[in-house]
Amino acid sequence: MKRLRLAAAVLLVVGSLGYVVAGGLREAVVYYVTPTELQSRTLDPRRPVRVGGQVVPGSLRREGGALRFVLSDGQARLPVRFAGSVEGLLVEGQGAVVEGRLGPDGTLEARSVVVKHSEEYTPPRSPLPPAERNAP
Amino acid sequence: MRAFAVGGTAALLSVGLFLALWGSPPDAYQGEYVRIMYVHVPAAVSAYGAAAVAFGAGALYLWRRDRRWDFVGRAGAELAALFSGLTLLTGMLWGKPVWGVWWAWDARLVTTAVLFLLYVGCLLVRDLADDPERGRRLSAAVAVLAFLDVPVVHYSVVWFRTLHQGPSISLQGVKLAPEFLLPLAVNAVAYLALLSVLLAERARLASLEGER
Repeated sequence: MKRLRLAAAVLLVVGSLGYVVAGGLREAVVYYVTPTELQSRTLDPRRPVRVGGQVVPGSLRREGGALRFVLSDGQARLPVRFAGSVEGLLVEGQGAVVEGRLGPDGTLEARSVVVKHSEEYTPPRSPLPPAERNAP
Repeated sequence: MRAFAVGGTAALLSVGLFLALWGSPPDAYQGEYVRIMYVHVPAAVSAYGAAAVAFGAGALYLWRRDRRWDFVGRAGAELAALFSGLTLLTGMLWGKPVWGVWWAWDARLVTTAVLFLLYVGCLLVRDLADDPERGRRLSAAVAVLAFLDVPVVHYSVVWFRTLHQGPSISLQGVKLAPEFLLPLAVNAVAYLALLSVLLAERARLASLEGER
């Protein structure tokens, strides 16, 4: 009887964990939405959003103290403006996750910019890696 | 035998450290920060290993009630807490310069923190119970259930959309250049040797304490 109760408890835990992983939370546990998903959603402009994508090569520039770049997931593009300074290694062609509110002109006014790097590791081709080229 | 194991582990760790600091190039994108990987990844692998030992020993203790499995289980749980804690710490030290943040509430980071807390809980319940045998059984049961989190931690970056990057080594291929792969492999083996030595020593200590 006691064994049966233990087995039932274990089964319950395993089952619910499996459920969470397989379905229920799979859609909910996303750290960020993609620019395409952002476009297809009707957003409450007062609510902040977190969007992730690649920094489009050639789009990163400083403009009057603010940083501007375009995030893309290969389909949709999202212009971003950020007035603060980025602490991570923000590089064109790599990932970034930005948090902020969508302005009326469709530009995301970012409150924070976090760098997302790829799982690839390669030795530098140029003499200095970006980490040191960007160092102050 | 014991001296050989300890000496061999120390030698492996020294070679690993040398390769991490001088035998590895910087990364094209991350620069020197990539060297944190040589502690971070082996620590995570060791945490998985310690969790597996705590799981096996816990299950055997619940089944057989042989005190020896409890000694091994205790060692496994303590080392799972230690190495998952080290994984979290080195991850934060790596995240700050590269991502720009110490912490993010993404699935990989949260499930790893849960893993650490589960083994801390596993060690807590052992001494919380008035009856030592009840504490041992409770601890073994927590160790068995806590192990379910290990595959969730490992596949969190595949199953969920996270800030943490996906696996660099998987069945889909290796995304590390060979220059990084060798130091990583040596360090992973060295850490697993360290885990084995610490497991044996801690279990022996627990059995000496238990016989008192």
